[in-house]
Amino acid sequence: MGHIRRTLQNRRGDAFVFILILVFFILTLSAILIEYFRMESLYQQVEYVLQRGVNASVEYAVLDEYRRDGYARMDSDLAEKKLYEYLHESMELDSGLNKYAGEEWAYELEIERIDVTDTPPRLTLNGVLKTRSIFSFLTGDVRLPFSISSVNNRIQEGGS
Amino acid sequence: MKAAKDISADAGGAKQMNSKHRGIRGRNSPPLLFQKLLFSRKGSSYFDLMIKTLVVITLMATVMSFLSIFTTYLNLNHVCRRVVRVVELEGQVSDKAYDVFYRLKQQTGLSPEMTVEDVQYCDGQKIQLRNTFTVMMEYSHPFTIFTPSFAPPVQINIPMKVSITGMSEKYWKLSE
Repeated sequence: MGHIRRTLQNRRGDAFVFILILVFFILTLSAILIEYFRMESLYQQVEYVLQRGVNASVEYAVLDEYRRDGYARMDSDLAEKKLYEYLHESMELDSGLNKYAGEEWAYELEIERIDVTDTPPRLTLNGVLKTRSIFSFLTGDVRLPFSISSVNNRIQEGGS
Repeated sequence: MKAAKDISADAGGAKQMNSKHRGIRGRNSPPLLFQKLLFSRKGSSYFDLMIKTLVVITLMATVMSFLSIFTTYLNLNHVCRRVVRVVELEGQVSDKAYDVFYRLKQQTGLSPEMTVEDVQYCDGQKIQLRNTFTVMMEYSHPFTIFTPSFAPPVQINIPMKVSITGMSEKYWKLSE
């Protein structure tokens, strides 16, 4: 008991402990910042690529025969089919919508809802981007929600 | 002290030295006032601060001049990204894309060279929906190291290259 008390009250080497705490604090702060910007960058990239896919699906599925008559109308099923085709072929997601960077798992898309309307030709994709951070052992997987929409109202021939 | 003055030096009496002999380096030492100034420590922290400030300002100027390189690279990246987006939306390297390119060149003050690579055109200059292409921009940034008043500035050219891949979002219904 006396030994523990003596060790606790002993001030020798306290500068070393202080430096250790400081280094730990700085490293943790740096890791948090780096992780935050990595997540932000990943989220923006995925959002950008998804927006492109949604735009392309709507563009492909707009019915030209209606456009000629001055109406904007879309084949909803075709748009949805093209979107999934884009997710698998262009974004290279697997059947469970997982993305791998080489052998390593990068993220997973969880699509919650796809709202498609024929007139006006609109496709809205709602879902969650699921990924991991180095703090996953504390917080679990990171879930970043997204909502991406594309509308095509142009009725001139060749428009998008 | 008065008693010692009357006794000769040989007899052990101390004689006051001439001021010329008192310097630490003997007869050839600098004049007393200059010597005093050299060895005086009064105001030394002021000079210390002045030198440190000069060093800090020089360092800051150096860092800021290096920042221009990063700014130029970021600008080049921005120009390339914008042009890629226009080509994506247009589905071709159209006049609109060149308009945006020239406008951004004027805005940023850069004059990069643009090339479109890895592209598969269909029916002229059209890029079919979901086909990819790469826009590459090259620029040589003249970095001025210093500008002497009697000679032209000393510069080094830093080559920069940015390439961004895009994907066409335009569906071209091609005639059979």
